[in-house]
Amino acid sequence: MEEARRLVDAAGFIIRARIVPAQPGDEHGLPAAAGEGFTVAIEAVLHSTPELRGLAGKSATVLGRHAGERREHAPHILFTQCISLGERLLLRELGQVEATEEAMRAVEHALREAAERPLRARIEAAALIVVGEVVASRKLEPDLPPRSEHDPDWWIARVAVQSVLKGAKPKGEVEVLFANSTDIVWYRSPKLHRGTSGIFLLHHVKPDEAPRELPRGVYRATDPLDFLPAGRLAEVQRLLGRGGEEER
Amino acid sequence: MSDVLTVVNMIPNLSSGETNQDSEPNLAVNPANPLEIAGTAFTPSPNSGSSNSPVFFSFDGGNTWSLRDVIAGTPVRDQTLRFATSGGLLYAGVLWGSGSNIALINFDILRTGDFSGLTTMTVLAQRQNDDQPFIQAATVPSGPGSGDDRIYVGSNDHAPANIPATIDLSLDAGIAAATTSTVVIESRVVSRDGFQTRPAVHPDGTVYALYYALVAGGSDVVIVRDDDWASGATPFTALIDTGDGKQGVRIVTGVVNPFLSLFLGQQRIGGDLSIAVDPRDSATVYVCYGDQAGGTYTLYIRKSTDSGVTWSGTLRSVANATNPALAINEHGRLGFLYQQVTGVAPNQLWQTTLELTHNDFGAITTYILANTPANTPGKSFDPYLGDYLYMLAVGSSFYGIFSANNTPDHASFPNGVTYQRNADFTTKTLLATDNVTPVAVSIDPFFFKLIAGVGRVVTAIVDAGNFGSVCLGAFTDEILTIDNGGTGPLLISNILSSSPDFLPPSVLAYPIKLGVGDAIDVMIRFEPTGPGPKAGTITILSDDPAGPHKVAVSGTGQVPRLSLVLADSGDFGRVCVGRFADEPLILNNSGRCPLSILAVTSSSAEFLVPQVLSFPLLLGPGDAMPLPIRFAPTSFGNKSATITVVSADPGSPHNVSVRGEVPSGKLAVTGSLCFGGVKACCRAERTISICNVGDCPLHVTSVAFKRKNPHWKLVNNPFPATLHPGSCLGVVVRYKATEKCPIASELVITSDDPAMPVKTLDAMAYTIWCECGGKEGCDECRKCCDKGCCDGAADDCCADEDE
Repeated sequence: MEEARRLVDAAGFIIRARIVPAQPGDEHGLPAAAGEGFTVAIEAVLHSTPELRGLAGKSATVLGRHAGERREHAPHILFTQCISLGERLLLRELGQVEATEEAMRAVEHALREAAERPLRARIEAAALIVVGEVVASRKLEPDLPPRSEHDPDWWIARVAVQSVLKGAKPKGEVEVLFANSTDIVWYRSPKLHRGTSGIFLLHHVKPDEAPRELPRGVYRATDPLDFLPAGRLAEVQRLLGRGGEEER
Repeated sequence: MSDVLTVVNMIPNLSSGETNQDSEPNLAVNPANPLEIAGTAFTPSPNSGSSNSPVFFSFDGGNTWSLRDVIAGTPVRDQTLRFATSGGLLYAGVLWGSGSNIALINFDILRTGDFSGLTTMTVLAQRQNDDQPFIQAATVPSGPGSGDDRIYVGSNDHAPANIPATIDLSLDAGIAAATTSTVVIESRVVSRDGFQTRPAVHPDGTVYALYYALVAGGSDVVIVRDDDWASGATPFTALIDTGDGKQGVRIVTGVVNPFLSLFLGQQRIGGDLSIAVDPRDSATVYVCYGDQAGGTYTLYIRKSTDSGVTWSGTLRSVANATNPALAINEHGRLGFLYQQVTGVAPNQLWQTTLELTHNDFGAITTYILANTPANTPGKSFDPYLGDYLYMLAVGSSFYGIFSANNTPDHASFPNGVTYQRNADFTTKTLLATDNVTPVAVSIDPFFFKLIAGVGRVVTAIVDAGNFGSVCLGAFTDEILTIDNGGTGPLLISNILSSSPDFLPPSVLAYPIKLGVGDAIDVMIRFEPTGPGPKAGTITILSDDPAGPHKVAVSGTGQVPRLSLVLADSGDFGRVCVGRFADEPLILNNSGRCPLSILAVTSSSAEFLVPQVLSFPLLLGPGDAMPLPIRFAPTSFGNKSATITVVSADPGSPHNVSVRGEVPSGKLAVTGSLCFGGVKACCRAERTISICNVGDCPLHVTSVAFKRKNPHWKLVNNPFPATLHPGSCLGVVVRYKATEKCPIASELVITSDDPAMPVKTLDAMAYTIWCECGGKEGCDECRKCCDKGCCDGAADDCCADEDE
């Protein structure tokens, strides 16, 4: 299981695949420094970017240890990194296990853990987690002109707290610093404008990440996971280890 | 000039399902190998959760692309990349990281020579608090530092309070322990400088940098220059503004830079700058800047021909446009790429346009690269298309990159487009990797290249240029077809032959101009100057970049061949004088070429050649002509001569020996002239036969007594006469025996018998005087004679001497 976790964390592209005879052209584009490769038919994509989920049924060239000794055999789970994505898919093998039911379960479990890990980390790092609604928001005095296209465009939202999932219950509304910029740096950052309701994962403001002359007591919610729709409450509670408990 | 324009959607086929906003593209082409091209955009890694970021690579000149994680950092923000001029190293200036403000975002200067995707780029320098790193690279071509890679990364440094334009540079970026330095190029008191700092490098060591300086009253567009690779103690101080004496010439002042307060389409506008230096002359430099003064954001182009000291007025302006890129190719052709929003919302279009000019926009060749909806897809983030794009020139070609709506619609790409990702242009639908599932429209990076149209000589000639056999003095013409198989007009400046045997066409006036696909037939003449195999090269000089086009030609020079045939080895046999013998001398042309007989002569008057009124005589290949040679001897003996035939055969003249024998008549005489005694006064006759026992007539010219003698007389002398071979004529010789005393007489036969032209016969007789006469005297004897001759010749009476 630990090995599965390690490989899941390291791999950017995990597939269930079967080694097949190399086809003419499979070596095309293979870097000379890459070493030996073998060809696989992808039966299922277990972990990938959204773009590559549709590659089941495609073939790929895998660079791996002892590639020349590989023979056709039962499907394996291949933990890989995509080296080149073009007309052909070139992968570097990080590890592999036979695709038994047990192994599949272990990998699926590790993948679920890995998927939860960012949110778990945000929850653990949050100083205050509340369920609430933005009742107002205002723009902080901006730099004019902006210092950069990547300026966050700081705003402050006032959130009426309905319940507290973590941390001390605030007195009244809480003020939350958020980046209103739609720049590539910030576009996934929560936009906490009036009427936005859900779960707020609020963090203390670090001096080097905040605008000057920020009012005291303001929290910060800039990570895409710092605001979640209310529908994910159970998930948050589970990760908080409370099993649905919330403080009102 | 015709150009070949190629537009390629860079998203790989196996990423067909992607819907990212792949904006803010940049491009690098390896000048040492233009098939190697690298590109960037806001495209995520193909690896889930990757700590690296990808670069698009093409190894076939941009026709196909693959994504490879070579940037050690994620997420990547601004990124630009450039190849060194030689050596093949790729450099990049990259902002990356999840820092929540610019001060925490990493600014890396990177390098790699490994495009396999197996390794990430080496970090040459890293700092933070910079914006829009914009890199240029060059390799020192000669002189000090020759071979060193030099990189210049313009940026907007946020560490100083005035956020100045800055250049990070390395004078030897290719070495293992490359170092960089940071040069602030702003020397004025400014509120700040703009986001863009754009360097430009010329191989002679001239380095420019262009930036906006925000001052009271607006922004100034400022250019700085260094003349020695920015390697001195005070880099970028070569240009001093004559107005304020400060570093950097203010090209234009009072510009309104929107600094993100303006949107065109869904694209934010934060100013635009581009600069290009003429590769032929570092003093010629063009700049493009954006200016909202007057209300409409507009791109303007100006030019300096004195290394940035003074500037022209506006050469070109385009309203409602952004993302300019200037590039100048090796011929001084200026390319201007921009994206312009057209139409009225909500039906606006982003029109990506490439303009090309040779004369500062006096004439413009315009290519619409893309004309795509401006309102779809809705933007995911800013910048919608990118705060910049890029174009560069390598040789005569232009390479560029832009981002646009990726709807597969041919109408949106009037100059054509190629998609690697699955797309149905009929239904105008993107398709996922399964080629079935529809995929939402998004923003994709598009690569383009414009190969300046060039003519290309293509030739055709029958039989691979083999003219076959041609007779000397004759010629054969073959058609050489010259086709322009290129992409631009072809100017043929000359057609030359390496051999005098092969004659190029006569052209009254060059050049010959052929349009694309046009062809011309010219005649190449093979006129051999000698016998045997001939080879040559026809060279077509033109503006085909491939250089002179050579066509190998060959042929064989053929000659006529005179063969002479004469019976019996030229022996005419025996021919008598006055007669003749004719023998035909056969003149045969045993070659494959017509044969001219120019003269036929004989060395002897006894061997006569026929009279020819007018030479030459002409013999076709294989033909034969009997030429009568007459042997007409005029004298006896063995004869010989040489018959000479002068002809066009290279072996001419040909000599034939002839000979003949000329026999004579041969005199033979039968009969005797020995009369003995003849009775006086009697006559005695004897006949001799003069015969010709030779082969030829014998001309007996005379038969006569040597001395006149009344006693001797020739009776019926037929001579002179010609005696034919085997014939005889008789001569009767009479002796009248009247002489008192025997007197010998000689009969002389004169003939043309060379062996005995004069034959003398002795006529021998004496008179037998009668008894009556005794010795009493003639009178007595005469009387006796009067009585009649004695009986018998011999011993007859003496004849009267008076008879």
